[in-house]
Amino acid sequence: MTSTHEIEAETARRIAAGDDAAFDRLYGENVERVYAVCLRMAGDVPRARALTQEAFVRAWERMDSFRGESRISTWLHRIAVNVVLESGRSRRRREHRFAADEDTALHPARASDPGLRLDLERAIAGLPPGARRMLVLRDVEGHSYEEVAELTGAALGTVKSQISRARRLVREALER
Amino acid sequence: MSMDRQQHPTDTTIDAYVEELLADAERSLVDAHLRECASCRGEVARQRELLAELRALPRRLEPGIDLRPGVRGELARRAHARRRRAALRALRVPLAAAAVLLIAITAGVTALLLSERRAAEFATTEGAPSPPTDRGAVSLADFRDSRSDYVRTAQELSIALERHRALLSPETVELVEENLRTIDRALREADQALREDSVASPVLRELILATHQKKVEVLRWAISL
Repeated sequence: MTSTHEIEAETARRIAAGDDAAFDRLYGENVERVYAVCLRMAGDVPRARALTQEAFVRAWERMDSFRGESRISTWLHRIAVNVVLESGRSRRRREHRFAADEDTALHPARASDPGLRLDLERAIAGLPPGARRMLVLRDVEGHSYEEVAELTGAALGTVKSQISRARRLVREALER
Repeated sequence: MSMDRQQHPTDTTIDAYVEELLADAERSLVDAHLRECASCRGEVARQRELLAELRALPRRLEPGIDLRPGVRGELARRAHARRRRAALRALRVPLAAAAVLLIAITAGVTALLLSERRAAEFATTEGAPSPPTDRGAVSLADFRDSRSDYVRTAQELSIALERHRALLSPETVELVEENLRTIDRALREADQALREDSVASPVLRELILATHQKKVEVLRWAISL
């Protein structure tokens, strides 16, 4: 019986050999996942689209190095994160911060409110770039603090304090 | 962590508590503080709620447009750039070598012509026969026709290259111009030698035509990139 890893390694071999249909399948199965992480880490739609495109370009170019040792979706995710982080290092955007309002507790009923999700996405997008990327990697993508430190090249203590600050900035934005 | 019951935990400690990353002893200290501090209990509750919201965000979002044409276009552009760089690397050494060879030949032929002239002058004064005036390789008429053709072709290709220039990398433009300068210098030296020597050596004519041909090849190659 063929394992998932073997199937994915075969898909990678086909794409590396120029199989357009295999690439279409890979794209279809993964583009929304890649775009989600790019959008949240980058903070705006045009950049997220460009970064998603670059992630797939880079994946195709490196497809012959994929050995099936991890899931191809995990491998793609890693490429996407690196593309965003590299882009962030070369592009210093103006940081803006939320004005601190008086703390008030979130109303539990808002948790199921679709508007809350949009507010939350906006609050994340409004974070300073460095803090936003770390918060997304930790709290949305589920990486450990150590992994976030490794990916971003920041010290572990810096990662923890940046994420802690980012969470409070998000709350402040939601509570305004 | 050192913390008594009256001291509020730091934000990172609250976060670690919420994420259940504290060691038992530290967690007990925070628990003890929370029992007495409503403010910190509120903070813990709000952080828990926020983390739950963040973790519940959808992991998939639609980009709204099909990015595949852009991916394929970018791949094609990069493949073209790689081919161009490879062609550039492949041509760099032969071009440089050809240019050096042209200069060396030009200098050699010039020296040869000068020595022939001196020999002819010496033989004339001694009453011996004059050296041959034509070795039969390229007639003067053929030489002039061929050279005109090459010059016209090179002019047309130069105009085409100007239009194509914006598509070339600065590195390519520099290499092409460097080679054209070298070839033009070789041509000037050969033409000068030809003007100075009434014998009009067929060897020199062949050299000049070969140099013009090389110039046309360089221009055609640059336009093909």
